[in-house]
Amino acid sequence: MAEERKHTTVSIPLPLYRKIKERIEGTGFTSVSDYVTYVLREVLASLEEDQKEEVFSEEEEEKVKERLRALGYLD
Amino acid sequence: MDNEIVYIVSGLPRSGTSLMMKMLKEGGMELLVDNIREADIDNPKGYFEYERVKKLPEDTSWLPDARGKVVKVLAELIKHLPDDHRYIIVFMMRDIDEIIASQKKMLVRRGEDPDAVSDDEMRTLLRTYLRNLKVFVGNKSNMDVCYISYNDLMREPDLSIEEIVGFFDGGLDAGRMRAAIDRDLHRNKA
Repeated sequence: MAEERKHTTVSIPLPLYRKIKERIEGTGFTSVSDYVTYVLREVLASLEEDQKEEVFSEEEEEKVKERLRALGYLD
Repeated sequence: MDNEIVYIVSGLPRSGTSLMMKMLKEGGMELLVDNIREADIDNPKGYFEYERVKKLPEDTSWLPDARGKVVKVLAELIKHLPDDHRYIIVFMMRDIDEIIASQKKMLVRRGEDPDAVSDDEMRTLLRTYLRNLKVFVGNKSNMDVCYISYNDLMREPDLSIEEIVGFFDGGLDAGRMRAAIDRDLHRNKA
């Protein structure tokens, strides 16, 4: 039974490829693919994090609203 | 401009919302304002507000009149906009410490206690508040938002204006929008 493929190919512009290749010289990244995979994972994790609301208590919300009222922006 | 869409300028107080209203007006957009809140030392060029907005969520009957126009809606009230309209939102961001400093000056002039909440606490509150509001807006299918940094707008107006014009699908006069920025006024604005 054929082994399931774990990687696939995506295309990026050549100038970007060359720029990344220069950037990873002397770092722990052994290939452009490794670096791109790392960056994409970071970006996706950050986006997922951005989609979660932080806990904001009623008391905290009221402090913000009170500031807005005092400034004349809320009735 | 699309006459089915309500165009909105939003943000925290002292983040440059009045400036953006003025820029969009100069750029060719029609504003929905009543000028009840008059210009003062805190906003010498005017507030560009429409008082009925403050009655959200109870009163939404003014919204049909806002279609095809730009109306200022404070960040807090964005969450009360009804789902039966489409909104294009320019949301003004600014360095939080600058916002707090400017708000405190305004509070003093209004005879309010500027230290009712410490700066450190307010900084944390506003950061979380804005973050949650971004999540809220990001989850609304009837809202498209463009975040514009007041600080970037002051540093490199052309880049920000290009972004806004693109967001509005063109049709805005970038030169007049740029001319609407009073650099002296805003350089000194805390």
